[in-house]
Amino acid sequence: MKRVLRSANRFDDKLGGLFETLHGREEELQAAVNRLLGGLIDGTVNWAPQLGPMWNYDVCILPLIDKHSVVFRPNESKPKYIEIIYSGTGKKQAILDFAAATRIDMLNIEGPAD
Amino acid sequence: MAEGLIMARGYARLRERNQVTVPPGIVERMGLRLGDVIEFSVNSRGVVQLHPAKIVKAGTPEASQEEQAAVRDISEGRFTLVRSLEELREHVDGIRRGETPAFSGNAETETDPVEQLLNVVPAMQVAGPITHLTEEQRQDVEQLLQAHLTNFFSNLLGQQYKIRKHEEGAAEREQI
Repeated sequence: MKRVLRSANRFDDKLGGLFETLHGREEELQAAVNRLLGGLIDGTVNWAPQLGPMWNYDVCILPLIDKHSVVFRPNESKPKYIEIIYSGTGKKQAILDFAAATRIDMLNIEGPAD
Repeated sequence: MAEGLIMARGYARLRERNQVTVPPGIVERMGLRLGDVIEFSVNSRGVVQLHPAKIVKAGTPEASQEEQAAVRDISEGRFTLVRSLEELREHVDGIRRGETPAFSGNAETETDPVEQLLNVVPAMQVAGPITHLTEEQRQDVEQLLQAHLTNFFSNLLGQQYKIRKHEEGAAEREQI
């Protein structure tokens, strides 16, 4: 499944900022970006944890580098299974399956939570 | 052109190795802290803009606001279309070099619809052949064209009506 990405200018700003923050490790970051976003384009990445509470249904999050994560929204998704995060607070988290998605919007890069 | 009110202003002299000190008033207004990354950009009118390229913490209200703002960016055409791994590599290289995204528009500076239309066309040529536009993009372009054509023909018909009225008036005056 081949997909297109729509990379919001705001997302690009964040990525540019991350390149600046990780000065000296640009190649490592670029490789991580190519691997993750490349997987979203060529369809090898097909599922991801859903961001935030369970009502926020179509936004996903995947780790990028150094506890920084990429937030994105596929145009098609459905719940795959519910995962209980034992290591954290025991909250439930939905895993979304977006294998049928043909377009993915890149929205944000988030830093590690407290 | 809707650029908003200026809320703070300051001056700084360019020093060696292109260094400047951001004036304290601007730092305060932008809520900057030590270590924050700032994005500098110049638009087509030569206006320099500074944006804090802050990476906010996951799960905070600020993160949610950033996501909503990114959704608005995309719905208003401020995004880059990436269709292949090759294009992805080029795009990320461009970001590293600090280049402007290939498909971009700025709702704050491009308020003239004709200028907006003219800007969209070359941007699409950069993004690829017109047959590769997404359905959503094609609809946007069609709507924009339709609005301009409707406006154009309305003005044209209005002018013709005025000319006809003027000629009828002149003919009546001649008869009198």
